[in-house]
Amino acid sequence: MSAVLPALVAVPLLAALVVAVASRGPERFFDVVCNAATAVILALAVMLVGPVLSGGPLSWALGVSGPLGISLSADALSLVMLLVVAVGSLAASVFSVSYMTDYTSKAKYYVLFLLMVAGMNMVVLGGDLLNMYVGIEVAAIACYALVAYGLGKEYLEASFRYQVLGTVGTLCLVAGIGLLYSHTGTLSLADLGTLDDASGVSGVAGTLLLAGLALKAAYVPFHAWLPDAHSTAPSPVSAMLSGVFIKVVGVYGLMRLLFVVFEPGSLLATVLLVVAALSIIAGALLALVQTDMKRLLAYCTISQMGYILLGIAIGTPLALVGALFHLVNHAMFKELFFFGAGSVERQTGTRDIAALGGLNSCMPVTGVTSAIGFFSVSGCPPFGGFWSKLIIIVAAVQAGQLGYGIVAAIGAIVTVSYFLKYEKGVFFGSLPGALQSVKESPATMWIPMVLLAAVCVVLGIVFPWFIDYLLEPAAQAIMLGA
Amino acid sequence: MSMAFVSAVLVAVGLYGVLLKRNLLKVLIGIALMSLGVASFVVIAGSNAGDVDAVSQTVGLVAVIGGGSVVSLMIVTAVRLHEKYGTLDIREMRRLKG
Repeated sequence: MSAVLPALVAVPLLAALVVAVASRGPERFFDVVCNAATAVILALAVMLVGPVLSGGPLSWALGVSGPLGISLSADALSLVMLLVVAVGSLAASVFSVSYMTDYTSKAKYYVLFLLMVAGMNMVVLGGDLLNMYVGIEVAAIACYALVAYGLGKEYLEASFRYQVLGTVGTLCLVAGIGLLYSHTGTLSLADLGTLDDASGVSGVAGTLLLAGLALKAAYVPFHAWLPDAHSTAPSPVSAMLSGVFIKVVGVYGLMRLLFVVFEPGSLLATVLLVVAALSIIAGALLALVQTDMKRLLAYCTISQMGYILLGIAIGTPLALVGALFHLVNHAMFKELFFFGAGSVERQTGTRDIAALGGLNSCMPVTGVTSAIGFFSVSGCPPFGGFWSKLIIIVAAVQAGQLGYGIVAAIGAIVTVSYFLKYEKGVFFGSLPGALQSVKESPATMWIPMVLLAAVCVVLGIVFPWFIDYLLEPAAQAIMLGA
Repeated sequence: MSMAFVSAVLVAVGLYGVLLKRNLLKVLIGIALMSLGVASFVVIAGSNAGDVDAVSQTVGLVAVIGGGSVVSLMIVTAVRLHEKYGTLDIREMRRLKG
């Protein structure tokens, strides 16, 4: 079974190679290769669920042991992240089939997309910090190029800004990893988890790692690059960036290192709490004043990532379950929203909320699926977003952090208000004259939206089983410290 | 000690370029210097009284490769931006809101 682990990294790499070699072939061929590769990844990830949950973590190694070889391992936490990556990338690659025909050279797009997926799988399967770092770098470089993909002025500018800040983030990570190694003599996540006295490594190494991961995950005050990068990128890329990428390269590392470097109760954990509260409030308030659909969604991402960090920083088992559940929910509804925004932009030619309205009548599928995403993000029972926010707030109160619980509740109210503005401005009200002839987007664009909307609904209904079966073991894996 | 000083100077000079320079090429030279500084710092941090550790050398090497790839991508982006704007001054490229 452990042979599946390298396959998860190798399949997208091979597919990228095939597309790159055949880059003069027909477009249809690239569509098939990319979608087949992401479907295989999803199948492989699902195959891992049973063995990992019943038989414990799997591992696989190539070459010498330790960080000089390649060691991959999968526990319940990796599994949750793998499933998020797999579902997210499959949906985004199906959506790309029609959407990316507006851009030139689909082959290059698919190569970069598949490299990004390979990098992310490497991050979540990496058994030591060096492998994780390599995965982060591969995924990030592919991402920088994808943001610049449109080659317009604003694409290039957003990408350049992202490259500068992202690289500063990676450099902080490398310096932190180097210091951590010089203190502990190991980079293996399993060994780091068994250290008796991990407190000695906090301080400078912890600060550097925290700064690097916070830059990658765009937490306030490191968020400046996110609204530009996530709103200018092509919509399937925005969806991957907001829904999957920043969680894998930022939040996942925080979770892995949580009980090694950021032990709850320590000064760094308090910093995490403050950063989480700032992100929730600042992201929500800035989203309130946006008039561009995708910029609003990008600021919403900052705010929702704050909830995930809040759960992680509280660090009780319940809070970690809440954080993981919110991570899964956010990945699903944020991809759904970006697909909706991409579909609206492609069919109407604008994403200015003020210029749109009444699209429910001519784009019913986009309208209904966005409404489902709206119910989930704004915390309407029984959708998934309600339960995950509730769990995080309850966990905050239980842990004696009443103030942070109140901040989270206020953030949830602001979330409802800006999404009401979004829904009313785009899908309800009267249809402007210029948009009378707008049609629903093609099937390859609305099918992933319908599937993600279905996942949002199902997650809200089956959440007790989902938590018991998958998220509890994942939270346990975080608590083990490795 | 002197090596650690050199890497600190590299990072500091690089950071100065990234934060204060308004020319894209100078910003990316700053990034290149910072990544070299960090890579050498990682090697130095892992070495013990003249003995260089294989793992920290590997991390340093990977960091150099990663830094090099990012810098080459940044050069491409800067060239494209120069084609579009006819300048490398970031003060004249504010098409994006905050």
